[in-house]
Amino acid sequence: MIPLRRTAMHFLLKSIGRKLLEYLLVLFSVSVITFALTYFAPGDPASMLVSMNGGDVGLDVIEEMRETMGLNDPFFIQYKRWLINAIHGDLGFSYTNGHPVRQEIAGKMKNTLILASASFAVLLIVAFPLGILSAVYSDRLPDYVIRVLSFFGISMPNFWLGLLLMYLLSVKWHLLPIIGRISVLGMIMPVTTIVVQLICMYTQRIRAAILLELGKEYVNALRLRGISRKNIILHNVLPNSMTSIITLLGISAGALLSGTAIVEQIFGWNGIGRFALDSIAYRDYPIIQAYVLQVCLIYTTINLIVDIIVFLQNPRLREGASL
Amino acid sequence: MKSFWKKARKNKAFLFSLTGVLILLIIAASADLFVRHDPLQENFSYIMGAPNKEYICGTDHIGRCIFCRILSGAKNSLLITFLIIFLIIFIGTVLGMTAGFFGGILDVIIMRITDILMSIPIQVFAIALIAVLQPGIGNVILAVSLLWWTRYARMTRNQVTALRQKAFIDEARLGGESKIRILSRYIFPELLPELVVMAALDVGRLILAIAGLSFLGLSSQPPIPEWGYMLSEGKKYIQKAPWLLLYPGIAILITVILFNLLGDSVRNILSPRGIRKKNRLKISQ
Repeated sequence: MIPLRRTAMHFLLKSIGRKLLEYLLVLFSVSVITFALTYFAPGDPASMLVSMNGGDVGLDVIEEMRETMGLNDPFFIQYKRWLINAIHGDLGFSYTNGHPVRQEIAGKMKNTLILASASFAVLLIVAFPLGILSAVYSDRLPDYVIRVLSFFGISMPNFWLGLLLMYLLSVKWHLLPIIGRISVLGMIMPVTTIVVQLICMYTQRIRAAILLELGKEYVNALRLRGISRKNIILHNVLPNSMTSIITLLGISAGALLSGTAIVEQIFGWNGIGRFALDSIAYRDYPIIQAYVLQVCLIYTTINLIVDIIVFLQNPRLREGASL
Repeated sequence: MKSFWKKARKNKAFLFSLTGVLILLIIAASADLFVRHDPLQENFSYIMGAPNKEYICGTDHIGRCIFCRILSGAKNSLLITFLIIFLIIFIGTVLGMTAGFFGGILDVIIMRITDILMSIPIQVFAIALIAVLQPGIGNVILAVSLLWWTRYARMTRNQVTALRQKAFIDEARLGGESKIRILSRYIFPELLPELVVMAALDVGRLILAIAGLSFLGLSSQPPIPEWGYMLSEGKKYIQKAPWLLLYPGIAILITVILFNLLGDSVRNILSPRGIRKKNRLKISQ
């Protein structure tokens, strides 16, 4: 018994270790890509800094600044310096006003995360019951209604939905504030705009995952033994289809985090996506760098956690093949 | 292929959406011939005009005909979408087949790159890339294609890894076929159904993604009509001229619905799940 358990444990640790390595590799590469994008971008940080301070100085002064800022160093030395700073939370200075990037984006990141997590909660609360309902009543009226609605929802451009909501609920009927803010009323439209498409997508996927599980032999076996449908679905089918559903939810984190940019733009939500969009016009690269890094960091971390959860809760994966 | 048409002819959703898509393509291709107004021509005597007989969808903030702009935007949107689809299928299958067929270090490198790119959300990448280059439809195409091929590569690679073990590949190799020929004549046809399904389902998603990016102002080429950009212009006049944001949205919705319906029905035709369905019925009684 003991050696068997040890090998299982060993295998588990090894697989999680491999996942961690992959995670670090992905983060490292994303940081290289992010740095490279701005390294090769047109525009010179030194002259940006000068013009930002309203100075008009000679080329020799700018050259001197480049030297002290380390802009003449080779790519990898600059990258190393930048990465070490970034790990310590120093993401440089905004080109537009000279404030530390970290200070500039902290509050905005918080706003975006509030919007994304509220949307995630709504996504869970709505998509699960709909998906289960649709699967349980497959090929009957509730299923048809849900399928038709989710088909339309998937084809609906979310920014258009946002504009329609805004026009009807704010401009025409004056029910909700036109500018999104952190309150129940102020978040209704932004959250709806983000989640409708995702809810429809996940309803379909959850339905498919459950139907796949329902089609398996053991379900018929349990049914023959006289166990009620409700019990089979609650105690066998749902837990068994969890793996694929949890993985799906991990992927949705990316859509939620980046999808907020559109919603922030429409409803004037003071979040990181809108801030990054505004920064395009000013070519404020440190801000955009920070945006890409933070979103990718959160996204990959969520997916790492999802991978580990899936791994821990699924005995087949734990002992069998790799993740 | 023959069996595909045999099944397809009976599938109502497929016939309906195929007809719809064909009509759409014809309209898009010939829009310039029959629109009543030049989509770029301003009419300053009828600015933000409500829909009437002459301008069935109204006019925008400089008096251009919305209906004509939607029709002429269809051509742009669809051309861009198909261009991207072909690009990503090409990149994805070539890299995926290389990784799956040759294995070893090539496989590791290509699949790692795929993992890395998959961890960057498309919108975030597009914003970053366009900040560095500049707003423009070309750069949007670049940003989307650079990330979107990864799913095709992963699927192709997994399929090829499985196919490589099959007897008919060994037989072909013993028969003296070259590697390139095995890949193109023996393996590629096996991948085709899944590729078609994936691509068909992706058209709608791509149209939405591109319209979304234009809506954010990332592809801005102001005079040329594009649906997403029309909506972002329309947003400014939401109180005075709601038709500016009604009709382009309907155009996107209809187009995406037709392509999604087509994609769904192609998937159902190519991968029938009859056995599973029969099994499933027992429990639902």
